[in-house]
Amino acid sequence: MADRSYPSVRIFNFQHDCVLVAGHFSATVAGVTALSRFGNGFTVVRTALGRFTITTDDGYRHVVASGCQYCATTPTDWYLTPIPQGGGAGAAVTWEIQLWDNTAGAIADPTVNTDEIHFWMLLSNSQLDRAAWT
Amino acid sequence: MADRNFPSHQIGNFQRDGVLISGHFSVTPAGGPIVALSRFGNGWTVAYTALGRYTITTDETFQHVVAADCQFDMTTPAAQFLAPVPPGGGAGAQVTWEIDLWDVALGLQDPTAATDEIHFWMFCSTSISDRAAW
Repeated sequence: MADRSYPSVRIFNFQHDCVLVAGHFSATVAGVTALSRFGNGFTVVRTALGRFTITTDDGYRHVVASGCQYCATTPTDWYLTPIPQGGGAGAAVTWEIQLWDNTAGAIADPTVNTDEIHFWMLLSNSQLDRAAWT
Repeated sequence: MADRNFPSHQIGNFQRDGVLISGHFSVTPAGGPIVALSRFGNGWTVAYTALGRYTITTDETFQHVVAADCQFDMTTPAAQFLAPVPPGGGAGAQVTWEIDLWDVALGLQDPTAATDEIHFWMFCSTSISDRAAW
C-alpha cells in the first residue's frame, strides 16, 4: 500500500491529485545518519561535502513549490542553498539540497548529527495544473 | 472554471475554507523580467518591479494571509537568500507579496542564472472565523 495519499478531491491551488512529500534527516561527513530519516515517499543520500540528494519513490509530472530549512543544534550563520529540482515529466523527482557556511563562503557538512534538514515538495500529477506558463 | 479549490470542509488549522496558493518562477539575470514559461502553479501572477524585487498577486481576494514562506533554488550555490516583505492586501482584496533576493555582499540583486528558481506558498483565509490580529 502506498504510504502517501493521492487525494480524490481537488485541494488548494491544484486541479486535482497533488501530493505532498515532506520529511527531514540528519547528516555529517560520514553520510546520512542512521535512523534520522522521517517521512514517507523519498530516499536521501549524501553525494559530496554538504550535498544531499533527495529522490521521490514515485514519478510525477512537475514540482509546483518546495522549501527547506536547516535546524541547527547550535545557532550559526549557515543556511540551505538548494538547487532547482530535476526529473518529473513522469519520472521520479530529484532535489539536491546543499548546506552553505556563510562565514567560510563555501559548502559544508553539518558538524553534529543532531542538526536536521527539513524539506517539503508539492507535486502535480495533472496536466491540467498550469506549468511553464507566461 | 477556477483552477484552485475552496474546500467546503475544515482543513488544517482553519475554521473553514483555507486556500493554499503555491508556485515557482525564474527571473532573467541583471534586469529581469520574469523568464518566459518559467511559472508553475495556479491562482497567481508575478511581476518584476525592480532589481531583486518581484511581486506576486493572487487572482482572487482573501480575508487575510495566515502563513507564508519562500525558498531560493540556485543553480550554483552562493551567499544569497530571499528577504520577503510582509504580504499586503487582503481584507477582501487580492493579496500581494513582494519577495526580494538578497546577496550577502551586494544587497538586492537579480539571480545570476535564468535557471535559478523562486518557490513560494501562502495559506490564505477567506473566513472571519479564522483568528486574525489576536
